[in-house]
Parts: sequence; structure tokens; C-alpha cells
Amino acid sequence: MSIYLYGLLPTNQLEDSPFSEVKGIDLDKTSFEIVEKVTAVFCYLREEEFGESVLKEKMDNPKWVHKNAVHHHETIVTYSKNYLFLPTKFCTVYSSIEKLREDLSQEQLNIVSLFEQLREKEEWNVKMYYDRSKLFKHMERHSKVIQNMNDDLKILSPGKQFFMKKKQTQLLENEAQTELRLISQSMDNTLINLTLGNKTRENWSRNATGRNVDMIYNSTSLISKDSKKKFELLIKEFRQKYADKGIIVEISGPWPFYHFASLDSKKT
Amino acid sequence: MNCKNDNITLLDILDGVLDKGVVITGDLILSIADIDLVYVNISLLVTAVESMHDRRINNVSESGNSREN
Amino acid sequence: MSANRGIAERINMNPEDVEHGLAELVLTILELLRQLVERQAIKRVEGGTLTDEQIENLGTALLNLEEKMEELKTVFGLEGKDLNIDLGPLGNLM
Repeated sequence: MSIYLYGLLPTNQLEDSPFSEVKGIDLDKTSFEIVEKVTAVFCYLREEEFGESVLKEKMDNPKWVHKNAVHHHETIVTYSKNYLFLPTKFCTVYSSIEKLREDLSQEQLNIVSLFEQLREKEEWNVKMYYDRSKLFKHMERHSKVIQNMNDDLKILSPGKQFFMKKKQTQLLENEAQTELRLISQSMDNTLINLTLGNKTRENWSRNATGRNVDMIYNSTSLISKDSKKKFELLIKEFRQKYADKGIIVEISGPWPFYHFASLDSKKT
Repeated sequence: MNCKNDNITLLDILDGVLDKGVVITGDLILSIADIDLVYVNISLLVTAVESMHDRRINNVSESGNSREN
Repeated sequence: MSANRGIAERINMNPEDVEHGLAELVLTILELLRQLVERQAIKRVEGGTLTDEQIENLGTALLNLEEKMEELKTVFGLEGKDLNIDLGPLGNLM
């Protein structure tokens, strides 16, 4: 019978926190399987709902993926609360529990090593956006060039004014781009120095985020639990430093170890 | 988990759990409906220009249904 | 195919909505053209080959064009961000 794997946790943690089952992705609830020092959290799957061809079809359905990916995530979050939990990717399916046991036996050392590396650590995400009008207002106020242009503008005829205004806008645009690049770089450097690992990701468009500000930075970091206060302080300082330039800094976490723990299980 | 925006949280979740992460092409994420609309818009565009000429607005529904090209 | 039915449902048969959709598209094209013309004009002006009078006339014409566009947008209840066409994998038109 095939099984859906949610993730792995250190067996010794079950002593302090006994396993509790939750709703699974199919009809069965979650269960656990101990293989020496590693415990797997999984649930059984019905062949007719999760057989390879059926699953392939389901993966083509965005609504299905959406709903179940969220379930996958929430299940992982639940277990991450009580255990050091190494999450799997969505739809990591094993053809049988024996196969899983084999894999876990074989990979025992690697997995335990991963547990050790991630002990007392957390994954956090940092995103930055900028408020265009705020940034432009700030630049206009502080730019001698723009101010000189404004003085010139007053004595120009309407037609010529039009062109000079366009030129101003272009200058501001260029300056804004440079400024934003520097600020992103600054955040990146700050995080690289503070964290144990930092992965920069792509910025998302307004259509994707549904917000009316543009994203300029998006990264996930691995921090040790005892440097969390320092992390929060640095973010706060950064925020204050660039607030009047319209920079918005948002952090989210702790996240499951999606980016800093990879379980490359050999799928069957 | 603290996050202001639901959309963003969902994207972060998908990026984390999906095997290849989440790919955002042309500002759309996993939405058949929106992809349909793109084609509808383009065909409407062609019709709109023509029908502005002809002032025959009912062309819109015809071209919309036979959008394959 | 259910997809086609979905499209038909999405193309609003309501006359007012059809007009609004058309207005949006027409204004999008006009806005695109206006921006292209404006960019060309700026290049010419910065090229330094125009006389003062020509610059003044060009500037005033473009200013009027810009204002007219704003009026049209107001009349149809559209904002700058509404005037765009999503070309799917090609990104947005503007």
C-alpha cells in the first residue's frame, strides 16, 4: 500500500512529546514509523485516489494542488511545533512502507547529521517593498539637481516646461533604481553577516502579490534561535533607517525547513 | 506564523512545498481562468478595432467563442 | 469543452459591460500610442535639432494630449493601471 510522507523527526523527541495523529491527505489519519534514530510521519493512500496516473492528473489541477499543498504545509507546521521536523516536498509518495524503511535505514547517518545541523535553528523570510510616491517625494526634497530644475521650470514656457518635467521624472527614476539596488544589497549584506545561511529568491510582481507596492527583496535565512533577538533588532533598525524613503520591511517565520533541509528521497 | 498578506503567504507556501518551487510567469499563478482571459482579451482587441469601424458590437460574442488560432 | 463554455460566460453579454471593455481596449491602444509619440518627441528635443518655437509647440501639443487622455480616463472611470493588456508569457503590453 502506498504511503504519503510528510517528513522526518528525531526518534528521541517522541519521549517528551508523544505522537498525535491528525487528518491525512487521503482518508486515513497520520501515523508514524520508527527506523532507528529517525521517525517518519506519513499516512496511507488509496491506490484509486493516489496511484501514479491518478496523481499525475490531479497535479494538473491548480485547485487540487492549491488545497492539498496547503494541507501538506499545515500538517508540517503542526509537527514542527513539537519536533525538529524535516519536511518533504509536496506529494512525496512511497510505494510501500518497506521501501520507506529501506531508505531511512540507508540514509540514517545523513538524516541524523541533518538533525544535528538544524538543532536550535529556525528558517525566516525577509521581504522588502517600496512605496513609490514616498521615495520620490524624499528624493525630490533632497536633490539639489531637482530643486535647481524646479527654479528653472518657473520661468519656462508651458511647452518647454513639459519637457523639463519629463526630464526630472527620468532623473528621479534613475536615482530611485540606484537607491533601491543599494538598499537591497545592504539588506543582503546584513543578513549574510548575521545568519547561518541566506538564500535570495526572485521578487514577485504586483499581480502576484496583490499589493500596490513593488517588491525589491525576497530571501530566506537560517538563523540560530539564540540570535533571533539580534535578527529582530537588526530588522527594526533597518526599517527605521529607510522608513522615510518609503521602504517596507516584512519578516515572516519561523517557517518549516523548506529551504534549508532537502530530503532527496529516491522516489519509487 | 505572522504574515500580513494571504496571497504572499500562499506563494511562500507553494514555493516551499512544491518540487520546483513556484514559477510566476507573466504575473499569473496557477489560474486557468486568468489564462483564458488573456486570449479573450487579445481576440476582443482585434474585434474592437474592427467593430469600432463597423459599429457592429455583436461581433464580440462570435469571435470570443471561436478564439482558437 | 468546458473551457470554451467558461470563456463564453466570461465574455459579458451585457451591453454596458461590452462597451466598457471596448473603451478599456481602445484607450489602452491610444495610451500606448501617446507614450510612443511622447518618447519620440523627447528624443528629438534632446537631440538638439529643433528650434525653440518647435520645442514649444511640440511640448504644448503633448501636454494637451496628456490632459485629454486624463479626461478620457475620467469619463470612462478608468485608472492608469487599468489600461494594460496581459499578454500571458510575454508579460504586460505596457
